[in-house]
Amino acid sequence: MSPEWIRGPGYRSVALSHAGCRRANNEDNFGQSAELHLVAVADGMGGHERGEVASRLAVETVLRELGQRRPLADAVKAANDYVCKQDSGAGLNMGTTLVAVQLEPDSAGWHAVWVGDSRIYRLRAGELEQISSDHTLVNELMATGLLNEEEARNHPERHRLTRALGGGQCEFPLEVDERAGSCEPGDIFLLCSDGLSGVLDDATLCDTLLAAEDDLEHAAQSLLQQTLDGGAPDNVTMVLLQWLGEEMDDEDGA
Amino acid sequence: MKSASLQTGQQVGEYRIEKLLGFGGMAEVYLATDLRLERTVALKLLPPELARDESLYARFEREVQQISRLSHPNIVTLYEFGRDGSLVFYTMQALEQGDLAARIRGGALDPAEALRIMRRMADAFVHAHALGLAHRDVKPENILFDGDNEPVLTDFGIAKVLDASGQMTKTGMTVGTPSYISPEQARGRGVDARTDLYALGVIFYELLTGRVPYKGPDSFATIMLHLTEPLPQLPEPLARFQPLLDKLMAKDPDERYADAGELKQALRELRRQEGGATPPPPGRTRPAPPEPEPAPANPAAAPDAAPEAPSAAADATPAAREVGEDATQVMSIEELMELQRAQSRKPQPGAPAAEATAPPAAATPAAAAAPAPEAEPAEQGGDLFADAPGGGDNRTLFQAQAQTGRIVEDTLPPASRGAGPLARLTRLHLLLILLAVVCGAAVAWQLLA
Repeated sequence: MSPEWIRGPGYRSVALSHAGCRRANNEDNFGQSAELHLVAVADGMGGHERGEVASRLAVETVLRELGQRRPLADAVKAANDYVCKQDSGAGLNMGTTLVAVQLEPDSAGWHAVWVGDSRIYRLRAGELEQISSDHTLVNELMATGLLNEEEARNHPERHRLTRALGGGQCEFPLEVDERAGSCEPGDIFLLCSDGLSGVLDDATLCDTLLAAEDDLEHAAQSLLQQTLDGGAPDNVTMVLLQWLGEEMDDEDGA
Repeated sequence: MKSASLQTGQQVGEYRIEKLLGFGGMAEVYLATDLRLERTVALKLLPPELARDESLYARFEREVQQISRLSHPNIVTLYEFGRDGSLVFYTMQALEQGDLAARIRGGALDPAEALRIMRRMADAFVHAHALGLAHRDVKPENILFDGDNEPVLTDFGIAKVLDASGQMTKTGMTVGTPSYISPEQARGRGVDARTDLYALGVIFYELLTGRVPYKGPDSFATIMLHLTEPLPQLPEPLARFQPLLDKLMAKDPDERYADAGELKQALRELRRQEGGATPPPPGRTRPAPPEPEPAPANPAAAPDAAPEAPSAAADATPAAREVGEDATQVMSIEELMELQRAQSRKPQPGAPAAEATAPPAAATPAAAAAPAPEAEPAEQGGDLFADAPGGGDNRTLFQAQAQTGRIVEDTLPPASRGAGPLARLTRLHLLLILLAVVCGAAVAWQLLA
């Protein structure tokens, strides 16, 4: 599919999604809203094509809830409730990840939320930082010191999520991780499903974004191409959101 | 979102879909009719993602071939693995009496019933582990009940393949509700037969108390409890089961029972002790009748080490029921079903002369079932009390137990059968005595309470 653009006050954003090399269907979804200053990526799961339903429902619900002026984390919880309700009693385990960044153009603020193993990165001053932390079994075990990096790499269940919207987690109240801060002109937020971050390492992501020199569409296409070259076993979805700041022109660099 | 992929009346391969039974993880389970054999089967439809990936499909096929080697009354019988266009499915024995999870939702089970289920599961694992097959996803939802109220383990080995397809398709990829996850699974270390024993330990705790031992505020917290929290302690009235629980749920697999055979041995030992003067457990169920002490049969002998050796059945008359349990293992499911069919052609399971005079329903099946005097009434009687909370299931159960008993009897070598009229008389006497003891105990218990 071709990239989708949005432009808002002080920022621009481009999104790209691809089924990958080995899968017939695309269970990822993304959302972009210039009215709500929001971008989101969701990676669905659940057999029988229910994953794409879950990820679409999640993105739609978050946008709808934000439209009713609910705080971002609450909107994500509402999306979780909705996915769980659709699944209630059926035991489908339909679920999805969700990552989102909302900008506050007036104050140049950003607000990120994440659930699952989709990621949010930020490129600032030539350095890439992962804003989110994966809600995976291995990542959380590493954080407790019970698992070292090598054990995590070889863990047969390393893809297992500890948190998701729906996805068999409905009996637990959803805890949404969040982080907020101020944008600096030129900041690029990369939101992606693990179909991208599972194939390309952080250094490659960083190099590609830097090499594209603020040509976001080129950066997105290049990231996709490298992922496909790497076998793309999973769906690949990304959103690149750049804060330009008031004084900056669309085509200026950082 | 409860849309099923298949509709009633739809034909898949040689099967006609009757109704959706439920969703299990990423699969859908239907009740279906095998149009060639005109029998009812359970049909499990796998996600279409599986059919699209040839290597994954091939891997699944290999795994199913492995599983099809399993032949045990307490393990679901696999019938066929099939593919119809993009639909991948397998069919198996239809078990419509609900699962263990549903029974536990009603609260703790009577210890006698809990032990019966544990013994059956131990038997199932002795068989499966001997073939080198670990289940990897033991949970109450995977233990169903057949028409004879026998617990039957389902989804053997499927977990592994679905994991593989999960890696591929990202389906079913959360940790779920990790109530049965072993520490080694959580850490990503080697998983073997002892992993199944850990999960069985969790189930044992749940059977006895009505709740899982570890439950945190979220999935990961629950996993951490499995990894770090001390072993759950059973409440005082159940303390006699603590050693068994400890040996099942040890964090370190090396500290668990080495295999299902050891567990089986321990359960047998426990039942021998239970036969003594243990106080009736508090709870919603009626007190189980005291179990007569079986003669101390050579404890560590053949039955456990080689449960499928036919010789095990031949030498141990005092523990005839246990031997009977072993003996059922030598039968293939086909033989078992043949026997059941033969039984159902006979008039009424409860009809034979010896039973006609035995008063209450609860006692009758024990008489019908007893292959030998000493041990049988204990087990069967206990089961009946445990199983009849409302009293409504007595008849079905009665028939079921009678059938089971006959199968056991038929399987025993002629030498160990008490077939003559004299033996029947003795059996009846013993039963009446037992009944008196039960009534006495019940009255005494009432008075004490």
